[in-house]
Amino acid sequence: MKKTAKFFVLISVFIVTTVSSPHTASAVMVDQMVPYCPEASPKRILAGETYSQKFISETNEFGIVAVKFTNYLDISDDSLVFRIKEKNSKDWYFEYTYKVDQMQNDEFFTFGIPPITNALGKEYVFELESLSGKPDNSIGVYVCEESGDLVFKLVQGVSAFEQLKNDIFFQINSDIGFFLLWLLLTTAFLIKIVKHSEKNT
Amino acid sequence: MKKLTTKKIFLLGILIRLLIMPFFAHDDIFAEHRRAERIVCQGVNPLSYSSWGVRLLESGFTTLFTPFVSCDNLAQIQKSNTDIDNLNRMLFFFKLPYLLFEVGYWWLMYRLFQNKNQEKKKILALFLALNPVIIYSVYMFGRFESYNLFLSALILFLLSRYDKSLQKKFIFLSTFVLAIILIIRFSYLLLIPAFIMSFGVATFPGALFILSFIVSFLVLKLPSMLFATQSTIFPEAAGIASGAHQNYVYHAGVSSAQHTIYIFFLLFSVIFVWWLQNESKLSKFSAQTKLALFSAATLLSFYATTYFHPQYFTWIMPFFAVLMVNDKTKFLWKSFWYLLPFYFIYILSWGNAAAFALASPISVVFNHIEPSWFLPILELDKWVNIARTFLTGFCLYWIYFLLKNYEKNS
Repeated sequence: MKKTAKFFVLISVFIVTTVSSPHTASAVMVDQMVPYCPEASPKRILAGETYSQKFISETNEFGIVAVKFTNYLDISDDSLVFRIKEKNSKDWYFEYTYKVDQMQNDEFFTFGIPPITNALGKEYVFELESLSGKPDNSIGVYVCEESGDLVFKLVQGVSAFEQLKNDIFFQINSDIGFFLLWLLLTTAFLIKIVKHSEKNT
Repeated sequence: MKKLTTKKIFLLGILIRLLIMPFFAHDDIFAEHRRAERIVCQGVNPLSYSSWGVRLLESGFTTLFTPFVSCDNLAQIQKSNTDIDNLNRMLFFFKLPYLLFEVGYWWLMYRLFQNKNQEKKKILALFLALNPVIIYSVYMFGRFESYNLFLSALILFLLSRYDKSLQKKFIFLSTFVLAIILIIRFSYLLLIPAFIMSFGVATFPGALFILSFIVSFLVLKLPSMLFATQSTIFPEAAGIASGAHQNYVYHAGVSSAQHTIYIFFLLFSVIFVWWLQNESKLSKFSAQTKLALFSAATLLSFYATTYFHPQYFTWIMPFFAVLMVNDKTKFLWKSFWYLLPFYFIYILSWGNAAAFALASPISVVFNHIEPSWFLPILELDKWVNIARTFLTGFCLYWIYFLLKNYEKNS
């Protein structure tokens, strides 16, 4: 009887708490997007090709450049060099090589850079260069059909720890019912293990 | 170790799985459930897919869980695998059937060895519940290998019943289960020779196996033959011909004049000839033990010589468990744990997508952790190749160890 009661309490909590709540999925704060891009299509980046994008920063500080890619629902083993600098600067401010298998289908990939401050109104340029992309083994970058701009957004820079914290809080907040159930379940197992240990000592 | 009872080990195994289920995923689990969404929410015929057994299972569970993960919610995975509402809940329910089937697998395996001493049972429990390869492949990578594990254990269980009673119905039943596995994972075709070697060719059980396999497979294939919308009746065969996953056995070869000597078949032929030489001597072993031996040897040849995906390594576990429990020297048990670092470096062949990025349902931060940061001095590719070489070495030695041991004891 006690077990049945427990079961019903658990089921009730579950049903009440797991009803979907409407919310948005993105936890990242977007500061600037390419202004106008009604139609965009992906273009494969092949070995040696470089896609370059200029922009004037509308924000005073940013630490992430998020570019939209497609992996054509396939995993390719190409590597992509991302580099960024202020337009008139001689040297690149940041440069790093990424394996393209991290880039997801039709998703923005976030290139984290050391935060750029006092950026408002200044012109910057970033490049994407493929090291070994082939027609059947490469990634595609989204390009606006009218303007030829890359589909990208600038995101205010936050530290990795800050981002991690934001993401975790956001997820728990947006599906509190599920996390309550999950916590109940795991705690129940933990208590069972502890009780079992006590019985055997 | 004394305080670690088998019950506690199994509870701990479930707890670890529950803890990680909502927070890890590879694109493959979304790809699998994109098909399930099309079947459940858009009315696509499951028989229009190859390996329709798994499509049917996944869409069945998706239907069951629609009160918690609605079709509207599921539709989001068709466009994205990160920008999804209730992502953690979704992953939890996607993987819940895997946990249920795995617990079934534990139960069957544990029942097989209930007469063994406490120490053997504890080793088995540790191997089943805390197996890092399975935890990684099923609950982090998110592949459906629990279904195969459960069905493989069911075959071993049915054969143990056959060994005790010699009733032919158990051969038929185990063969039928093998045919079910094939409509879930066609790569288990590799194990048919292992079944033949276990029963013998010119024997009544062997003939019964071959006959019942053909009948079972055709019966299970019939619905897709009648209702499939795909152009070929045997899409798996087309896969073999065109170079899909099933084609990996042809990847490693040595050129010899006009021909290629395939390393996998070379190794397998050695096992086959060893069986021919020792067939009569091996009759003292049960059909269950022989199936475990030949399946493990075949799969080890496969891992040693071909390009295999991380989750494929789970296929050997039920057979390895049988051999490990029967191994008086405990060599298999010990060496398995030594193999693991090499396995986990080998999977970096798939880059961060198979490593830290699996934790992207927790935070996008994990997409930016490069495995190479933790493996300095050499390039990542070199580390992977070194680990791959060790893996091959382990597999080859295990084949040698198993054949030598069973020859000595026969």
